[in-house]
Amino acid sequence: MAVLLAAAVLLVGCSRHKTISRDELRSALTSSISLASEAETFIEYVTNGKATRHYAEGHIGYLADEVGESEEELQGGSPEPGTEGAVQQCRTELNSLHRELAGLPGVLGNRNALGAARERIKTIRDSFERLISSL
Amino acid sequence: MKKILGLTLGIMTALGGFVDLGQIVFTAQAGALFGYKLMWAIVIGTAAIIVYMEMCGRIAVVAKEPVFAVVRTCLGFPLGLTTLIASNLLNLVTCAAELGGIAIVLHLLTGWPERLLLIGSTVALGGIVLIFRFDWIERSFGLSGLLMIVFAVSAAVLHPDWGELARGLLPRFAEPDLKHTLLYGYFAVGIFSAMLMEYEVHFYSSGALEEDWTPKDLAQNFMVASFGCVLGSFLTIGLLALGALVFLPRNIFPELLSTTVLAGAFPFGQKALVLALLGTLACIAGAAVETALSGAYNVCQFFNYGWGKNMRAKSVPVYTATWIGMFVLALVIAVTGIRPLQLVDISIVFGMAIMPFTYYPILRVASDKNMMGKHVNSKFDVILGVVFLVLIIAAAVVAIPLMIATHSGRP
Repeated sequence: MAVLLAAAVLLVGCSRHKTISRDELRSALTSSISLASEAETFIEYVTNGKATRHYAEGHIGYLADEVGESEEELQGGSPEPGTEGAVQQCRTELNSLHRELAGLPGVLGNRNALGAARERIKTIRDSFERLISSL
Repeated sequence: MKKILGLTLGIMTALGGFVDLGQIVFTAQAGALFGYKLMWAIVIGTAAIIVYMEMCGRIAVVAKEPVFAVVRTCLGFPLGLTTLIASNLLNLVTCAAELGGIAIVLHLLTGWPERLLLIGSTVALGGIVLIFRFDWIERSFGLSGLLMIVFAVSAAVLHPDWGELARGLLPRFAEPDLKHTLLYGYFAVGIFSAMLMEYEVHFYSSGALEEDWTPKDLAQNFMVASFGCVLGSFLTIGLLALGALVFLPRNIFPELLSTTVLAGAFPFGQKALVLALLGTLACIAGAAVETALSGAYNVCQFFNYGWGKNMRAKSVPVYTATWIGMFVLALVIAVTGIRPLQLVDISIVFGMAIMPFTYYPILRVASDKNMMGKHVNSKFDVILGVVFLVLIIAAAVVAIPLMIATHSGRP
């Protein structure tokens, strides 16, 4: 049982692969769309004054960590032939999303800045959606 | 009043089992992927845990045997010991995950550093368990966990499609491709497993003995088990509905506790958000206490050492040292920075894999006329018990392959 548990930890924990297959890229893009959509929903929630300051700052931090992990997963592997461009584009967009999230704590009280950030994140999400449909 | 307060054992047991860190996120994910289609898994899981919780409470009352004494008797020493080690490893992993979850919720409430909160909250929980008697522990965590009702209210306010929700009571296997079919199976097994986590029956049967239940309390046993489980199930349905209402239309697959909490307060303002955070905190903390104490109950019941939260700590040294050890080891695991939800993924699936070794002995003893006398299982109880045991075994067989095939449920 201990061996099985250790194997499970490795199985669940190992996120770096040598080659990023098309299926894995699709899964990474699905996850990226989810993260971007979540960021948009969250900004709307904050803009409506529904989140406490501590919650907003904490949740942005967790979201940014999640995006950072997705970035690392893609950095750690080499793309399957024929998907290099899509992987590179996905990395770039994830980096943009990460930067948008990093800037949010400074503009939490500014509705205009939040609105602008939401628009930019929507553009990032659109890019992810175009990428996934191109696969 | 005493009878009403007596319900808190069932409430704490069920909320700690049904609405712990893993189930909160896992169920919302299921709703986000499949809408209401997995409602049936919640209903079957609820029925199964009511049947087995009632049985183990009855065994505790009539035969004065808690679950792990029964496991040792039925499975023999070697297999019983293996089950003990596996169960306590799972309790430890789950406890570590819950401690990590507590730190996350406190961070969202206060903004204080997570690691400091992790250590502080573990010490505070240890202090609470050390100082308070069993009934005060179950009352405080059971009743404060009721704040989770805000999740169900949010789901109702967001106007779920009641017809679609009702249709979810019937299993449907019509996913568009193999990947989605496997995911559907993984989440069905995961929901069922999370509702039957072993520590629920360990804690419940030990609690019945802690509270000195007698055969006169058998009617209350059924009521306590049913009420707690139905309440837990109601909240789980609320979480599934929130996944379907908030996340599914937005293509969000919630992978963070903070995301799921947001859904719990989605239609409301800041006060509801704080309530959702406090309710989550109470349930997760209850689960942490439940797993740590279950670890101690299991060891002492298996090796026949003295145990009991109502006894002086020094008079039951193995029991006291074991639950403190569970908290300390869980803290060490949590401090390493492993993500709590990663731990939960493991505990849910591996909990399923060893589940038959907990539930089979309960069914066997509850059906044994020599041990149970006139309180032995009726034919109806036996049929229900066997049907659910077959489902548990089937789920145990497919749990690990499904986890591997779906990369722990990643869409």
